[in-house]
This record gives sequence, structure tokens and C-alpha cells, in this order.
Amino acid sequence: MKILLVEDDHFQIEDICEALDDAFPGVQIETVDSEYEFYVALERLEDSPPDVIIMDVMLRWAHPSPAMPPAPEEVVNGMHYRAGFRCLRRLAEHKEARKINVILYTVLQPVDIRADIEGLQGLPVNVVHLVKESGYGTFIRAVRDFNVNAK
Amino acid sequence: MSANTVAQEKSGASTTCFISAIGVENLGSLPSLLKALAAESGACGCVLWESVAPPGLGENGSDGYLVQLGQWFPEGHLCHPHPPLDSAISEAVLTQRPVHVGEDAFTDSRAFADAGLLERAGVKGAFVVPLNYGFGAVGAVSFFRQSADPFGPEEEARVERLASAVPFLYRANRNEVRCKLTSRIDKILGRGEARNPSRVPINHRVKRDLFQLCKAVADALKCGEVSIFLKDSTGGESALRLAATTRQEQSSKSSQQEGGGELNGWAAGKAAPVHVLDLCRVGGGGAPYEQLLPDLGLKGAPVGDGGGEDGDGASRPLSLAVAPITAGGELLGCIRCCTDAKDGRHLTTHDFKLLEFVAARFARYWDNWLRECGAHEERLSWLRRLQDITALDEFALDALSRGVADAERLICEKALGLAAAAIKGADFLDVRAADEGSEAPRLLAVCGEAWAGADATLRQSTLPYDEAADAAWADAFQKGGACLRAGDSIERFYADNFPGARHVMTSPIPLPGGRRAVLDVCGTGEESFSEHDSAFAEMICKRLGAYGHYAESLEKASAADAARAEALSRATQSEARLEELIQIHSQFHEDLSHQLKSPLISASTRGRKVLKQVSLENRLFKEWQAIIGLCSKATQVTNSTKLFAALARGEAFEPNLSPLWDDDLWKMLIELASDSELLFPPKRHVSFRVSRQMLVSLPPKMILAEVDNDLLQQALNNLLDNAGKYSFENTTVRISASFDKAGHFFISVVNQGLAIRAADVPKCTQRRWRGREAGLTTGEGSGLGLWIVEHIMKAHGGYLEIIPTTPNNLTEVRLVFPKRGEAR
Repeated sequence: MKILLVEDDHFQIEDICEALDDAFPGVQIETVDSEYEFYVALERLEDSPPDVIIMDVMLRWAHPSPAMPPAPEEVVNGMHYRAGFRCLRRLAEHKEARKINVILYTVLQPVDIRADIEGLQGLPVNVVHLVKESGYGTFIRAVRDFNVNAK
Repeated sequence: MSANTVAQEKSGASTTCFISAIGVENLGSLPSLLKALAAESGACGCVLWESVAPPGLGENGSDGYLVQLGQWFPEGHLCHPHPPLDSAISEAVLTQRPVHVGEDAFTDSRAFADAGLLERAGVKGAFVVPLNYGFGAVGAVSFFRQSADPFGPEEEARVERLASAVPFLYRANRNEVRCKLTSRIDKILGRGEARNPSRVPINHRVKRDLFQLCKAVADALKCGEVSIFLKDSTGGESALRLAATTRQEQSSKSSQQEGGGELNGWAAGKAAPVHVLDLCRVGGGGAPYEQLLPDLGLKGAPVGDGGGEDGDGASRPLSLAVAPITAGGELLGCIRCCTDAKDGRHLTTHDFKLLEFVAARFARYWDNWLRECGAHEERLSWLRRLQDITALDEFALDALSRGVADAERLICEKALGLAAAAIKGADFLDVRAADEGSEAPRLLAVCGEAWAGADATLRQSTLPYDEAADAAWADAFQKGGACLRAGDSIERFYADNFPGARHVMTSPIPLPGGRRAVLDVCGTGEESFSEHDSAFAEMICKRLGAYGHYAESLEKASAADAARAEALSRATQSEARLEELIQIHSQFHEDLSHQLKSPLISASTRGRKVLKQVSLENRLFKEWQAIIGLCSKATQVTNSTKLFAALARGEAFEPNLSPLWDDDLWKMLIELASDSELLFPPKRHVSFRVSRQMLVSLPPKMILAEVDNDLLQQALNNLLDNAGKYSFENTTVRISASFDKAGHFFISVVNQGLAIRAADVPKCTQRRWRGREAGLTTGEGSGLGLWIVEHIMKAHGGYLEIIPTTPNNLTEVRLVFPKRGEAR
């Protein structure tokens, strides 16, 4: 199984990777910890798509760097708060990549992102929302179900 | 050849010489003329006569008589105004021949009561020459002599030649008198005409003008009395009243009735001139003037040819003339001129024509004056009306502003009261109003005795709405002004309920919205309402309309006020609710902070204890480090939450100050640096280093500042968190402490990463402000870090100093503390 994890908290990256590795031995996990890196990775996904994308919602645009990539206007205006949804809309523009199942994995409650979820209606993406919890049982089951259904 | 013809033929060079010898300066004085004539003729006295036709007084008048124009004797007036030589003079006039008069004529006491005067003056005879004055008047001139012998032929011829010049001289004399009088009158009246009646006391000045006019006429005509009577309409009945007189006893009396009422009968009734040039010849038999000439208002009785004084010493009148003063066919008054025995002369035809001229001239003056006074009165009347309107404005605005109950009716009643007082003939008035969509007007207010006596139900019931009423309303609103109806065309309502109503003036009141109202002014008199009355009624209506608009605006304003009050109430409630929510949130944040902080501190402490027992090689060492790092981060968040809650409530921090020892600071910095390093991804290779270089140079156990340890740790945590987040990969965050040149202790954090431009330095401490790039490089944070740090430093009496980024991307932030003992 091949998973793309989009998450900018390095503690959570370690924990999620460990949980996935335990649940799905031999799983291939690629991590991306900024919005810009996801856009870069999108080009690769057309040729080698993962089975599941696990997407955080609040993401930095990029790491501090002397050569920081310039941010689009919508990123400057929206900042990091709804970066995951921008990534999904960009994903929907890619013919192959938009077929990938996406799990929105965030601490935000459904009520917090209801309008954003409704904004995705009509987009050709397959997305489920899952709230982050202290354990990973629900999360693993969701990944498994998604993966089985996809096949 | 008649004497007159001879005189005319011989009026050659000698006459011209005689006229030249008299001198122009003497032309204005008849006695001077007669004196010159007497001297030239060798006579001891000279008298001038005119034959007068009767004035048309009916049966009481004689067929004709002679009046004396003037006389001259060295001894004064010797000759009675009534001709002592009546038969001789009459003969001369009738025959147009000179007549000699012998001494006998002067001793006939039957004919002359004062014949002794002439006798004592040595008059022995006279020579009477007939004259033709040339304006339809004839007369004679008498030359008296102290010799009983008659004139010889040559002497007669010479005297006749002299006499032939008399008509010319007399006319010249009269013209001179007329010119002087005209000039004087023009001066008197011209001064009055130039006067503005609105600026001077009218009566006083005008009376003076009138008296001066009388005086001028009296001087010119040599008569004792000149009086002016003027029409007075005060009190309703028109009457002529004495306005000015030269008669001494009359002018001192307050009553001005004498003569006025009687003259009414003649001058006012006929508006025709009267002249009775010889009152002594009127009637006879001692009948009083009241009987003989009842129209003239003269008292006493004629005394016959002798004239003179009556028994009580009063001078008997000799002649009288009355000229009416008219303008445009309307009688304004009359001017009366009267001579008596003291004046020693009769009024002549010339005098009378002069009096008519004066009356005409004065009529122009007086008519103009009345017009001016009328205009002035009109102005005063409008001024009073406008003042009344101002009072109405004040009343209405006050009543409406105070929200007085039934204000509309009260205002209308006040307006009706003003209209009733100002509009002449306004006997009863009302205001009718119909609401929008209603065709039945109702009475809003009424005024006048007729309404007071009307049936109460009439006042309270809705008025019948008939075609006439409709027409009146329609007319008024279509015209946009007052409409007058009279007689049969007045509305049936008034005709039925107020039989005396003859005129109704209906004026529209422009009320706002669909309401319609009118002001009705009803009169019972014959005279209708004037244009001024209409204008005033319209003015009142416009005012009432304006009050209606004002009342509507007040209602709107009141509604707006109510809406504002409601909105304010809602805002106040919202504010209270918001305040309550802030309190709840704040309390919640504080509780949360407290409840999280204790377990986090315990977890962190225990983690460190375990970590000391785990060797570096053990796999668990890294896990414990991560746990401690997470606990540290969570502790920071709980601290920030607590501080934010306090600041959100508007509370200032109250630091719990204690001495900060150098070795304690060192330990604190080492621990914070170590914890901070754990919070960032190892792959970015951002390290935290504490430089103790400065501190070791200080004496041991030194107190650096007075600080609140918890707040200081919070401030440092926020600075290190920012430094770690915004540093580039493979860089080091350097922490140090030192004293600046002023001796203030400071802790410095320097990192290499995203720049803070000088222009952004003031913004860094604003709540929720983040630099453009900084906002893009982190997926967390609230923008409150430096804002909280600044408050912490202010609480310590110090400050947060941000030094803009250097070209090699180094950014330094300092916590600067006050010197120990300095007031916060």
C-alpha cells in the first residue's frame, strides 16, 4: 500500500507513520509537510499515484528559507487555516490524481469546516473527514476501509 | 362821449407817467395805490368800489349792491365799508358817467351812522368816476375833496384820466397779491408734502401747516377770519369739523364744532362755493342770520348799512366766502373766509377766486396727505398682523414641541382669533378639516359670537357635505388661495344656520398627506373682504399648513427616536451579552490554563526524572525527550491562554517580583533552550545556544533584576518559539544576557531567518499581526506572542526591544529590564 501523508507537525508525522506501519506492514509512506511541497508532489502523483492521501487542514505554505517560493494571492489572504481545502481543489484539477481517496485528518470538528466541506460539492474528489483523536484505531480502520473500497 | 370813453381815449402818456410814478413796490398795497391816486388828483381821500351781483341766495338776497374794495384817508378809515354815497356811486355805475357829490350828502345822518367822521375830516364833496375792471366787474372810484366846489372841466378830465388807470392798477395789485399768496402757500404746503407721515407726529405738524395756510390767506385778503373745516369720518358719521382758524377766540376753544355742522348743509351737501360779499344787505328787519341764511351757520343779525359792532361789542360780519375742498369729486372739507367791520372791507370777486384757488391747491395737498396716511396706516396694520403671526408661530411651536393635548385645535382657535381681530368685518370664523379619504369635513375650531350662540350639536357634528361645499373647497384648492362667495352663492351650511351671513371667504390650508382643510371667514356686513384680508387669511392658512408639516416631522422624529432607542437598547443588551461572553471565555481560559498547567508540570517533572535514569543509548531516551518537549509546549500554551484571558478582561499584570540571581538565570536559559530545541523537527537542524560569556565576567551571586519568574519564563518561551519557527534550516538561535550602556539589564535572543523590516517593528507587538512571510511558514500560532511579551515587560517596568533584521538575516529581540529600585 502507498500512502501520501500531508502533515506539518513532526511529532504527529512520527506517530501516524508508526501507527500505519504497525497496521499495514510494508506500507510505503511519503510525507509532505507544507502546502507548497504538496503542489510539487502533485506532478509526481499523475505517474505514481498513492492509494490514499491523508491530508491535514491547517498547513504552512513553506518552511522559512532564504529562497522561499512565492505564495499565490489566495494563500496570502487565506494563510494556513484552510490550506488542506486549497490542496483538494488543486488535486481536483488533475485527471488521474483526483481519483485518489483522501482522508481529511484534522483536529477541526465537522461544525468548524461545514462550509468548506459543502464548498467541495461538485468537485471530482473522493473525500472523508476524520477528527484526530489520541488513539489511532478509528483512523486505521478508515484507511483500511478506504483502501478496500478503492479496490 | 362817456367819462369812461374819455378816460380810455386819454389814457395816454400822462397815465403811463402816473403808473410809473407809483412804483412797482406799491402795486401790492391797495391803500398805497389809493394814496398815490389821491395825491395825484389833489383829493383828500380816495375810495374804491365794486358792484356785486347777488350770490343766488334766493329771495333773501338783494338784486345787487356795492362793496368797498379799499380806502385811503390821511386820518385812517373814515368811510364806512358800506358806501355812504350809495346813490351817487350807483348812479355813476349805472350811467357810466362821473357824478358830483355835494356837502349835503355827508350830513345825511339817516344814511350814515358815522357821517360825522367825514365831516370832522373837513370833507366837503366828492367826485365819483365809474370804472370797468375788465373781468366782467364794474365799480367806481370816489375822490373826496375838502372844498365844496366841484371840479372844473380840466380838473375833471385829469381825474378821469387818472381813474382810467385804476382798473389796470387794481388788477396788477390783485395779481401781486395772488403771486405772493401762491408762493407762500406753496412753501407751507410743499414743506408738508415732503414730510413722511410715518416718521413725524402727524396731527401736530399738519395743524401747524393748516394754521399757517389760514394766516397766509388772511394776510393776503386782509380779512379777520380764515377757517379750514375738514371731513372727519371717525365715529362712523361723516362731519365737517374745524381744523384751523385765524379767529382768535375760536382757536383757543377746544371744541371745533362751531360752524362745521351748518356748513355741512351747504358746502358738504352741494359741494359748491358760497360767497356773500355784503352780509349787511341780506334780508332786513333784524332777522337773524340763522333764519336768513340757515346754511351758513352765522350768528346774530344783519345791522343794516351801518355795520359795525353789536351790543355786546362783537364785530358784525360784512362778507363771507366758502370754497369747498374737493378731490376726485369727493368733498374733503371747505375753507371759509370772513371779513367784519374791523377789517373795514368786503371780500371781492377777486378775493373769492383767490380763495377757490387756495382751496384747489390745498385739496391736492390734503388728498395726498390722506393717501400717505392711509398707506402708513396700512403699513402699521400689516406690521401688527405680522407681529401677531410671530406670536402665533411661538404659540404653535411651543404647543407642538411640548406635545400639548389637542394642540391642533388650540392652534386653530388662536389663529382664528388673530384673523377675527385683523380682518375687518370678520364676524365668525371656522376651520374645517377632512381626513384623507373622507369627504365629510368636520369643524376643527370656531370663533365669533355667532358660533357661541349656535347650537352645540352644530359645532360638534360633522358638517353636511353638499355640492356647494364641494365647490367652495374645490375652488379654494384649485386656485390655491382665498375664494370669496357672497349672497346666494355662499354655502348652504352657512345660509341655513347663519341667516346673517353675506360673505364667506374660504382659504385652503396646505396640510401634509391627504388631509384637506380650509379657513372660512364669514361676514354679515355689506362690505366684502379686501385683497389685504384675503392675503392675511392665506398667510394664516400657510402657517397652519406649516404647523401641520412640523407636527408630522415631530412624529417622524419621535418614531426615529424610538427606533434609535430600541436599537440602542439592543446594542446595550448585545454589549452586555458580549461582556458576559468575554467574562465566560476569560474565566474558561483561566480555568483551562490552571487545570492543564498542573498535570503538565507534573508530567514534565516526572519525565525529566525518568530521563535522568535512562541512558542516552536507550531508545526510550528520545521518546522521553519528546514527551518532555510536548509538555513544555503545552505548558507555554496554557500560560499564554491565562495571560490572554487576563488581558482580554482589561486587567493589567501584577507581577510577583523577586530578585533574579545570575546563576538562576543561567539555569533557566539552559533549560528553556534545551526544551525549545526539542519542539522543532530535527531535520531542520535549528539549534539553541546560551552564551554565558558576559555573565561569567560578573561577580558571583549577583542580582540582575527584579522579575516575576513565571512571566519571565513565558516571555522567553514566546521569543524562543518565534525564533525557532522563523529560523532558516541549519542555523542557531543564540541566547545571551548583558547590560546596556545605560545600565539596564537585558536578555537577548538572536536568530537567523525571516526578516523583520524596520517599518514592521511597531506592528510586531500588535495583537494578531504577523509579517507576510511569517504567516506563510507556520501552520499554527495566533499572532499574540509578542503582544503578550510586551505586556509582560510593561508590567515589569521594562520594555521589549526589536532590532530590525541585519543584511545577513540576523534578527535580535531584547527583554530590557529597569534598574533595580526604579519605579515601574
